[in-house]
Amino acid sequence: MFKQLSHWKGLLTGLTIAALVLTLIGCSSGNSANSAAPASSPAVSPSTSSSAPEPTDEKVSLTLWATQSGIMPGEQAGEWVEKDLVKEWNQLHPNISIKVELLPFDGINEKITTAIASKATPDLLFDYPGRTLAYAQMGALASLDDVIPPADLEKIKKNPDIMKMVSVNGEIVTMPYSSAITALILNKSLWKEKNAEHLLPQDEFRTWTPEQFKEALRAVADPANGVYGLTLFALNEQGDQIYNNVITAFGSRLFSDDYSKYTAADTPEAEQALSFFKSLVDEGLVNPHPETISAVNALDYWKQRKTGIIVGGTGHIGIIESGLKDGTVLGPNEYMFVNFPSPIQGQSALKMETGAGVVFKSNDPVKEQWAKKFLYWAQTESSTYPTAVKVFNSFGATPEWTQSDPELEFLAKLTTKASDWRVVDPGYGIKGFPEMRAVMFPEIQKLFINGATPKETIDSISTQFNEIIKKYQ
Amino acid sequence: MKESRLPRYSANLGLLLLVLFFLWPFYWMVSGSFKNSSVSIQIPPEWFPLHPTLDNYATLFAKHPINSWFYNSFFISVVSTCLVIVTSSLASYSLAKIRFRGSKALFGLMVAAMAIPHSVLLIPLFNVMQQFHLVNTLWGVLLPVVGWPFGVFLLKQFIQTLPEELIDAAKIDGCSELMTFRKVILPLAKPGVAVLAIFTFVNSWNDYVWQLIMLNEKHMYTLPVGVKFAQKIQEFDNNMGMAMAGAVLATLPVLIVFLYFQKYFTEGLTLGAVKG
Amino acid sequence: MKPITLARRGLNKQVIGWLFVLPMLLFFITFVLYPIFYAIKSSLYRFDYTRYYWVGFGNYAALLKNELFRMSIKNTLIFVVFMVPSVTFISLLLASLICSHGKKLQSFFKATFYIPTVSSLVSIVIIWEYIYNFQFGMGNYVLKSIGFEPINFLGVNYVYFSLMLVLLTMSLGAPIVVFTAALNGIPKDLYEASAIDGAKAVRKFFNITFPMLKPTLLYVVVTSTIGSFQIFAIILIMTGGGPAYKTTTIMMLIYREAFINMNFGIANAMGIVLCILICFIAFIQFKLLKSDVEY
Repeated sequence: MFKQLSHWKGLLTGLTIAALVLTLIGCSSGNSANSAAPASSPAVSPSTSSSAPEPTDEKVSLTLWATQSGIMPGEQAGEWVEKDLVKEWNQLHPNISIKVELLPFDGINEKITTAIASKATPDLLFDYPGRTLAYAQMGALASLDDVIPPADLEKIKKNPDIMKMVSVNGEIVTMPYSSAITALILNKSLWKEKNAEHLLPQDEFRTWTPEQFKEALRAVADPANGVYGLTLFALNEQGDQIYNNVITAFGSRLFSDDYSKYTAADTPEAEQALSFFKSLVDEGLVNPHPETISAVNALDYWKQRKTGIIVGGTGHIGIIESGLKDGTVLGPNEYMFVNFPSPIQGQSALKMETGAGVVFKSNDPVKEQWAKKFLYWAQTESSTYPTAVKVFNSFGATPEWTQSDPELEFLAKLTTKASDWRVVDPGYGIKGFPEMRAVMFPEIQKLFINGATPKETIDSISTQFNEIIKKYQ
Repeated sequence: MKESRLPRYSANLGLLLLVLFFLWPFYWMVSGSFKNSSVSIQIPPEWFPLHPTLDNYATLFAKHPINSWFYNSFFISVVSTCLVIVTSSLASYSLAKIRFRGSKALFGLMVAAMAIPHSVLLIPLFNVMQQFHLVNTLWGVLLPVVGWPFGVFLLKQFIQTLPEELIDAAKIDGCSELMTFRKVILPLAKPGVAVLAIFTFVNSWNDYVWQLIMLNEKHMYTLPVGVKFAQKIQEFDNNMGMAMAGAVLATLPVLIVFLYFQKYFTEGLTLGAVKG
Repeated sequence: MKPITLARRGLNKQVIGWLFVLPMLLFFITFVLYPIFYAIKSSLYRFDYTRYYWVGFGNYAALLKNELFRMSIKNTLIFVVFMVPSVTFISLLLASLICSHGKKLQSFFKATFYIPTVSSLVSIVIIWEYIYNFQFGMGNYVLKSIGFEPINFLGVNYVYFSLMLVLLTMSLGAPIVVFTAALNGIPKDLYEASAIDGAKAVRKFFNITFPMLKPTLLYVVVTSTIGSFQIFAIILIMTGGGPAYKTTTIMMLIYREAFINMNFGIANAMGIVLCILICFIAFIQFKLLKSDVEY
């Protein structure tokens, strides 16, 4: 029996050690837990007032999560936030330190959703409204109304198009000074080589009708070598841009003004746009089987001159420039921005995304206030921000970076059409927008595999979207 | 009687073909890591890198804290493996051979728990880690691994096949349970333990989503997360050559560990002790 | 040595039994059971962006009515029904073949088959996408060169086949490792004894190998079942769940509900339903492959 006791002792000792180790872990890692503002963080006691406290430059430390977007020459995507933007900020406010974490796109949904659900959000997030407005719907974001100057605030609130992209429940939740425009970017050299340059848009604002568009595609289509004028893709939800943009360009209205209804199926234009896409596939003007092609594929093809047109913005110019240098882009590539085809002569739809960057609600009002100030400063006063992300200031003058390139100047000119042309309204702010996005692309896939007619497709999309809207009302 | 050789030859030929089929993606991964990013996405592709470059690896080592990433991954995998082996072998011996009252129910509960998809548990698990103040720590990443019962399941099945006579013999000699476990069962269960070690190491290593959620600073990242982060040139643009180089760096340590451990489960067992 | 009464022995056994399990149990309760309870509790609520509200079994009822969910169950079952027998049978076959070779060669073979299991998903996807790409892929390049029509590998007609091929390469490694370890662990003298008795290869397999292998066989079958039911990441990247929901599995819906729609209640309910499905099938497998090995 004593023999057994001594061996039990061995076991008990082992367990005790394990328990000790575990407690030690608990203690020691308290130091290294530099997580984003946890719910239990003790509030730096603010000065007396209960609403927006007047923050002085005491020592404050903020956390910022950013996606790997935007680039400064010589750096990797996203590095500018820490290397350039925060550095610029610290020259003005050395006491407000900002810790930057760059997030890879893979797994970003899980990361942010978990943070929100566990109340472990950072102070700031640099991401686009397509994702962030949903967070506002959940009540996770702080209102930015108090850091925007009253004159600008009035202008914004009077503009329903912009409000739709930057606000939720009447409160502005994403900094509205950042405007990005997306159009179609094409490789003019492909057409020059086929002596078909004249088929490209010739007017000042570079518009074309669907027939003219198809004519141009026909000129460069070379199925034997796998070369096409355009690559349509529908593998996942990343494909919805071109479909929504062209549907709007055809004259359709996606949502009613008060977002109570998806209206694209109520008038024939959306169906016409979908028929147009279908005809591109049927006539062999685009890569076959778009339901198996992804946005990444399309970009690869475009870089290697296997396709002439993709949806693109200012960032793509950077890809071409650096790509031509290191060989990832096959030259010659003379790029040119054009509009989405529209049956309405001389018109198109503008895809402008206004708003970027959000502040999460925090238990610490001082941190929250400084986060808002930083975000405001970044988009209105910083020189780094617009250069890195190549955005327009919705209320400011044409930024400097447009002057370096006539194509960029064209984009700047295009933004002036926002008052005449339709602006695509994808409905970022609607409760359930991410859900809608996820159900749209399977319908488009069905269209491409001949599983549904254009009318059935738009009707199906409309039914499902309206169900989702109703579900959350 | 002499058995025909043909089935054996054709079987081995089939095996060889399969091996080539499996090795080819690996070859692709390795050769791709030596291509610069333009060539790596070339259509049609380059079969053999004509202008091999070490740039991808150089960039990975120079511009990124890849040493930290290696260390973090190793720490997590090694520690979790050790913990899993200790806890699982004890538990599985108990469930397999001691068979106390309630062991069957407990085992059933554990297998049922394996069926729950991990993504459903991400958020509550993160909450638990928050309460323990283990967010953004390596321990926080590795501790949940020890809770997953697949190790217990695996070892229990291995230990189950060990003959009762050995245990009885040990008991008659006066061994306590613990001694029986250490002196008799563990050595015989070595192959099972080696398999478990390798599986745990690999699973810990590759658990990308959990690592991404838990770790908040670049130098805290593990290799899989860091590599994913390093391969982006621009927002829409991946550097495929770097991606392959990163994949090689992320896979190679695991392969080496595998090759080291698997000698333990190639050994045949001699149960000379039980003859007669 | 003092004679120990039977009752005392029984009590000792109980205590020691639990004591041995205790370390593992602590981790299990903290990091697995507790989150599971939390998930179950959360599945009884629904979320509409502004609040959580109690629905009892409402989520489950809604799921049973939901056509997409039912379709995903069907799709998942297709994968399971194909994958589990294939993986088990092929890996066992390969493991036996491997074991017939020398040690060095065994290591080589095992490492080869294990590589895809260990490789990062990204590299696997890149390689297979490169094979399956309709216009520029290896697959159609080979087909065209031997005179066949190109196949749309990821299209509606072939997508199951294409995905399962990828999944097979990723799933064979671990079972092969387990089986070779188990096969090597069968005492050689058993085979010698039967050889003396004049048994042929097939007989040897069924009378000696199979019974000794049953426990590990059960392990492989159950874990591949769980794995097949939870297939997700590779499908997400290669087909997005399409075309037109053809390859949407339960896990994909769970991911979508949880991390895109942020509807944790329904996502957790789906997870529980999935768990129940798996347990049901695993229970049957346990009954079929039960073994009390004594010899």
